[in-house]
Amino acid sequence: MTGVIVTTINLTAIYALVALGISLTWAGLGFLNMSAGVMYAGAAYGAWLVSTEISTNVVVVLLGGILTGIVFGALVCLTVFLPLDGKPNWEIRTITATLALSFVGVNIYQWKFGPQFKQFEPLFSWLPQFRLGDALVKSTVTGTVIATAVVVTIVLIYIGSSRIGLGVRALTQSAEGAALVGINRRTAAFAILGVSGAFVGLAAVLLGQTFFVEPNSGYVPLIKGLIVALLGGLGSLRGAVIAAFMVALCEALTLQYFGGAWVLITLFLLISIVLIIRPRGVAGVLETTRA
Amino acid sequence: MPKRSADLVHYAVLAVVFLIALAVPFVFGTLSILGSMTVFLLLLSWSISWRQGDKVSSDGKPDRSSWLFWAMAGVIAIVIPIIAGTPFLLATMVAFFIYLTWNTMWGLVLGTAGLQSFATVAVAGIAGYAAAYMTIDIANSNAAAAGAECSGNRLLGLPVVDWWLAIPIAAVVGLVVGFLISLPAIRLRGIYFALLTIGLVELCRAYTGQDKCNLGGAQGLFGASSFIPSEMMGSATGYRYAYAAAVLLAIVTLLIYWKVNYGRLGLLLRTARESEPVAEVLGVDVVRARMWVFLISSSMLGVAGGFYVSYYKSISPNFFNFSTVLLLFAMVVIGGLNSPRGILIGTMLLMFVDRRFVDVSPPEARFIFIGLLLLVVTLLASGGLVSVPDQLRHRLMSKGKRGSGPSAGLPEEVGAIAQEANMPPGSRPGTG
Amino acid sequence: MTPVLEIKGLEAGYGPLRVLHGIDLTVAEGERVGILGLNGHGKTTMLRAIVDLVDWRQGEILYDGESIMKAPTFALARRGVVLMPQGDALFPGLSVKDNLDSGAYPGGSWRKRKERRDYVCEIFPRLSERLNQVVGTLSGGERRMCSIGRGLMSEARLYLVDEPSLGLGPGIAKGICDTLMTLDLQGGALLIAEQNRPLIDGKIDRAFRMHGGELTPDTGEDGGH
Repeated sequence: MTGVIVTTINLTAIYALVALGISLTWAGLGFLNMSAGVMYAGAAYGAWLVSTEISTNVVVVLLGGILTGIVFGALVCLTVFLPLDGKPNWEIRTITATLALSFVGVNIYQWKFGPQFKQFEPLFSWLPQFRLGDALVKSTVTGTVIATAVVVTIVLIYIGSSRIGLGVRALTQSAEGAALVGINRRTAAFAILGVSGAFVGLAAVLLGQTFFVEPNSGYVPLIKGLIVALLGGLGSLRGAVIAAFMVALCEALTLQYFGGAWVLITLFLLISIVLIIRPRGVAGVLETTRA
Repeated sequence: MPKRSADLVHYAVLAVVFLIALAVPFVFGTLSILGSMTVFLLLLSWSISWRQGDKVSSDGKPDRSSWLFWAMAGVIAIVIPIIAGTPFLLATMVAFFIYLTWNTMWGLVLGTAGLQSFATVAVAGIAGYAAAYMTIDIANSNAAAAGAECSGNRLLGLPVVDWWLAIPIAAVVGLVVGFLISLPAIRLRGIYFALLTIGLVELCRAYTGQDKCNLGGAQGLFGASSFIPSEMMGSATGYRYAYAAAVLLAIVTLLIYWKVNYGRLGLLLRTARESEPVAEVLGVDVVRARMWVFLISSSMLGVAGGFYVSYYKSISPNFFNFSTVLLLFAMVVIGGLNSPRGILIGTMLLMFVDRRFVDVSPPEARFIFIGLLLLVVTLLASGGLVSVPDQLRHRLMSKGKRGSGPSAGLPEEVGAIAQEANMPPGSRPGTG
Repeated sequence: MTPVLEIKGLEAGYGPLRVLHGIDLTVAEGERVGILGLNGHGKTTMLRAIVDLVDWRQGEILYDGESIMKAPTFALARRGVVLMPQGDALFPGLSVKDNLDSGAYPGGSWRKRKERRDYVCEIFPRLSERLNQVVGTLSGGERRMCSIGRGLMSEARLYLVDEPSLGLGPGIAKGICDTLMTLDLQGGALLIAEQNRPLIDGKIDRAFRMHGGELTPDTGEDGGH
């Protein structure tokens, strides 16, 4: 049972990161970033390049992933948000553009890096392992939880207290109000997609400790991030964390008692049930103001 | 009569373009006819929309002059096997018509009804698997291969049937799946529904890859009964036969699209798409209308799924790959998902690009190109390629500056003003 | 001396609908100008057109002698044009404090936000008791105070106030309007749209009547057809 708890905590941290990125983009800018998967894989490759070319130091590799994520976020802002902001058919066009971007990205990775799996050097092997009940808590898990906690705290403090952060929060609440107080949506978009990219990039490095990196490795995190973001209610950061926990628990329990092949099926059942009971997710109330 | 002569010049130019398009395959090989005809049809569509002006919106009733477009499309369908009837091109065209069927039916859900469903591939694939299962005795052939794991019995003791029964069965399976998908659509909106349907496709891929005993696992099912008589198989006649059948499939599909989109149901769906509360106040049974569009489109998706299996004689979990979803989605939106012309042109264009650059090295270049094409069209054209004339005209006619601020709903007073407004002549056309 | 705001032949509307049919108006420094008129005649649209919150507009708007027809909403806010809109456009999920602070977003004001917040709390003491409360839970009157307070957080030069009394009880409405009318404009100007004539009568320098999208000098009679 404690094994399930350890897996759950580990997955919660990672899913929450991806989902926070997706959710924040939706709430602040009103579009669903379907290219989060490509940002993820790009950040993973970025961090992998850093670890093979520059240094295998934990902080350097993590920063490498986060910075690549931020660059990718800015790229999405430049190629999707800025050209489409305020244009007709916004909803379907942003989905199409981000999907197109991910199609391009995956194929560029395939071309440049080939289909081979890349593996990270273990980043957290210097952390101690310890036993919790009958489960072994690997150093990777400890590292994941600490790194997530540190980065999320820094970002939350930044968003909670800085001027740009207030702009971002205001934008998630009312686009008109934000414009009336002088917040430039386009500048704030870089902040939002940058933060979102940083989260996704961090998740990529952390999950890269457990899974290999390959061109399509962003697909599953994208799908799960979307599931979590929607389950939590788009735009709700607290909802995203709760939903990440639910999804992680569901996955850990399925892994433990049924086996890996069933994960998607139980997950699908879970989202069907939750969305049918609460069509806007666990805490989704913001969608009414944005839709 | 200046207008008369302008018309003459106009048609003469189009005729010349058509002749050039006809000549292209003799110079650049048979496949290029798909590309040249795409260009011709796009130009034709643009000229029709441009001349038609604001009289009818591209989304509303069938425009009067669009008969010319469809007549030319018909002519092209007849001309292709005559002047470029190589087995390779005919095979490409059969695939094209199957895609066209799926895309047109998807357009009904995505465009007319405005429901963000990505389940098209799942419906077609499930129906295809059903058709394949019905015509292949996999249980017996697999029991030997997989050993004691598999029971060797068919599900429910189903008999093995021929293609002519398998395709109607696929239609019924499509109908049932469509019904099941329409249930959450009643409650879920927009993005939530999109996610659920993407999840469904992913689920199909995971499941079909797992089930070795009934669905053949990762290899899938092969050896399905084909509608091409065995003596024609592989021959030029066989390909022409398949081509004719595929054209028939596409015609039926387009007629269904026409009937739904421009009929009562289409009107109800569009009303509900623009504003659900308004539709409800007007007495539109939104739930019923949406259920109908799912039932109609899904059964046709099922037919095309069955047709696919019967033509290729196999289906595998790769059918449910996300790249399939992406390719079909690109086909639907690149031309313009609100009109059958747009879907036809988009499907032709990407089919051509996909096949033309199939042996380009590196192989990724083709997909990168398709992705960039989709991105550029999406960023520049508000409603796909066919909407370009409307967009240009709006830009030329709008004298006033468009507000760049976030237009978050209209202030309350606008409703009151609109009621007594005598819309001034020559005012800006609507943006909707 | 250049007027703060000069509008020449302004037309604006939404889609095919033309709401304003050529508005001319000049507001000088230190002036309080009232726009009277019934609902549904274009008062809101006029104020929104000034800050580019309409679908389309044409004509000429000069702010301190410079054309602002090309300036987006957020840039105007930074240049000191503040709209206190109908419906408040607050940030319902943020606290009163954050909502007020957002009003100080334009560059120079940000550093002075604490002093400005104290100033707003002095004007609306009710807000100071609720600084940490989420705006979504406030009453209608408190929300209006918050919306106006947010507008006062930056040192604006042109205040545009849209129906401050709308949806409020007569007592609160009068209180809010009185506060607005006694504000120290510090060389700025105030343009107020109000349906309820007695609320602003006698406290404004000039009044106009908006009728059917056209602006005429006010004759003193109460509106109506």
